[in-house]
Amino acid sequence: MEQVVVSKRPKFKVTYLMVLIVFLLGLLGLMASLTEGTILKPSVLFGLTVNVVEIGLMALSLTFIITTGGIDLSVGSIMALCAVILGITYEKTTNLPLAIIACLVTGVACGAFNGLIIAKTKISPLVTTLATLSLFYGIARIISGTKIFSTYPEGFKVLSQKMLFHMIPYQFMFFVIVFLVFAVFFSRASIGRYLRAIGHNEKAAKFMGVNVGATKFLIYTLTGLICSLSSMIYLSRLPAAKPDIGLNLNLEAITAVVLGGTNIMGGVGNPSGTFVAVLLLGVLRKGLQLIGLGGSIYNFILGILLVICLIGFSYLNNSKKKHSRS
Amino acid sequence: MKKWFSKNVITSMLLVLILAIVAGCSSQGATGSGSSSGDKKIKIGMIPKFTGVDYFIAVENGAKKAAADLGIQLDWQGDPSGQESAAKQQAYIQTFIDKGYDAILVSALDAKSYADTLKQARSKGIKVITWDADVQQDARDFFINQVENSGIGMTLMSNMGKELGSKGGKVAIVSSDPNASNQNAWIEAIKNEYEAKKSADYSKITFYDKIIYAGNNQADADKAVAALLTQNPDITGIFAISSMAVPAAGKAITDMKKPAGSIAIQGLGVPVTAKDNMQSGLMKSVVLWQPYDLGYLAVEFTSKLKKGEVKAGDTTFKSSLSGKTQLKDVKYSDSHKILPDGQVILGLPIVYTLDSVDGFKGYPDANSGLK
Repeated sequence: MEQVVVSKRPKFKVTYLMVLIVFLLGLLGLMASLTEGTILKPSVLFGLTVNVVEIGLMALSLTFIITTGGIDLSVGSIMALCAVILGITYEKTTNLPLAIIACLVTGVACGAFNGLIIAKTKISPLVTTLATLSLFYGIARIISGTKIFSTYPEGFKVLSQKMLFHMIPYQFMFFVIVFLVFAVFFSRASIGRYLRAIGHNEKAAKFMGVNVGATKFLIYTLTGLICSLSSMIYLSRLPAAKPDIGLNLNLEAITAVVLGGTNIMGGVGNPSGTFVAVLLLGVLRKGLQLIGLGGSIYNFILGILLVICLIGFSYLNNSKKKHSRS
Repeated sequence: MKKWFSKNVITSMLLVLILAIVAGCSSQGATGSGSSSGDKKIKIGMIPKFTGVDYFIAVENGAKKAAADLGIQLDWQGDPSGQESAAKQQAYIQTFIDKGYDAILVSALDAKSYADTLKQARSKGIKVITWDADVQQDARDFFINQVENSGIGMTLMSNMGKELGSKGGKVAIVSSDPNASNQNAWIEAIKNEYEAKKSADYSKITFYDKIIYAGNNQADADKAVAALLTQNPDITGIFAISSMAVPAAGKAITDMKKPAGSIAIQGLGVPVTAKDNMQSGLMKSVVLWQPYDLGYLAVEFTSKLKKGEVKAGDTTFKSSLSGKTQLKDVKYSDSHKILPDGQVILGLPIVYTLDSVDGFKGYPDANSGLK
């Protein structure tokens, strides 16, 4: 662990990750004492990850977007729309592969729509995805009406019912794999450097030869794809597709990204931090539920965490005076 | 860069490892403390559809009274912000499983969504009892049903027939959502009653061809009912069979400045809340039961089930409500029916009129209607 770190920024990141891990373990300890150890039972501890896999996946791909200084508020709506499309296609055709393809295509199309607007026009990602948040939600509402789609074949539930060693849920392992892929891409592939370059200074990135438009289009489309995967994992766990399943998921996913150490202003990203932050939110949520404080208290704490992180980052930015972004 | 990456990944891996070790170490301790608290109080987790709503407050008061009488630990779990969803109910159920409770009592928002979670609870020896709203039959042990579904349908339909009289007219059904199991059963019962006496008692009554699903919040319900009445001025009767539908129907008629009584509202609603509508003549009566007693029965039944005093296959169940007052002079019969599919029936439906509204138990205060 005590390696000599050469460059400056990585040192900060590693330190922050450490702090986050200590924080996670501390929270786990606190929750363990408040719940008389219930949260430390292996089935509970690994089981709690199930609740955050869907937002975790979104948070990983949002890490890419936020690193470029962008944002995607529409993730929850895309997920809900994908779920509804899957549900309606399966109900009409009883053809699961077709329904899954329709779901994936919907996700990619929604993401690409976001990406196209953001890459080709000067409209800010915040406004664009705020608009598409309502748009996708509206489409989901219109096509489903008040119907809830809850008929799926048994095979579809495999993902959420099987556990490795009767303990580790499959969807958590899937999350870990996706995380590793994202982490590799972020730090080893050129795309990771492009993302940070765009986040630091978009014009400079352009002069460096980064195809800014294509990169942005790619990451928003990727996010759409991830949302469709999330929707399938959600449906395998809770087979009821309806438009409002995605409400407020954007808040949770963005909180995980920012808590993980990705700068909301762009330029600095940290998939590993996002991963730890997602686990932290999982522990927080499960812990609160075990104490009997589910629901709104969790959202309240989520809001506080987000505000603290944002203030913290703006303080760090100001004190460093490193990047002068308008 | 390479160094930083490998370091980050190593740290994450280490974290997972640490979690696993911590989990491994503590699991022994956890099971140890679990066995020592073996024959303590029965612990029950009870999950309503909504919190902070008149109907469920009455149930809560009844359930808590039963828990106090019988020495049971009762956790009433809902979201105080009122944003309930099947996903949240599933999380509450999972949490009660994690805590190792003896029984989970749920009023299901949706009959199918979390059937697997309930089955998982049953496989661990936890009693799963639904009340107020059922899930699919193989996911629960018993269903504490307020009334037999056919009883509700018959009462509503015959009240409608009486109120519309010889004029007859077109009637519409306003429900909450297509997955609401109670409402669906009642709709079926209303239709059955209608079909049975179509050529005689109900010959002048026709049905609007669609069922209106007004959703689970008041604003949506208001909009849906207003739209229905605006588009179909010939409607003379509404079956308002969800808790949101009754006030929505009253509001729509008032807003459209139609005279009170020009559209007959037959509905299930909380009597105390419907009192204003009854006083202004918008409705003559509401049909319901005593939610307070439903909560009481659910907890008492669970306690006796846990102690082995009642089991699958029994056809009757005697509770401390049996033979006691239901409303005013009306009493419950000497025992509750248990149907072959595991439904435990609280009693017969009650038609509340302006005279008997104050006999509603457990709302607005815990002691209301109890004298």
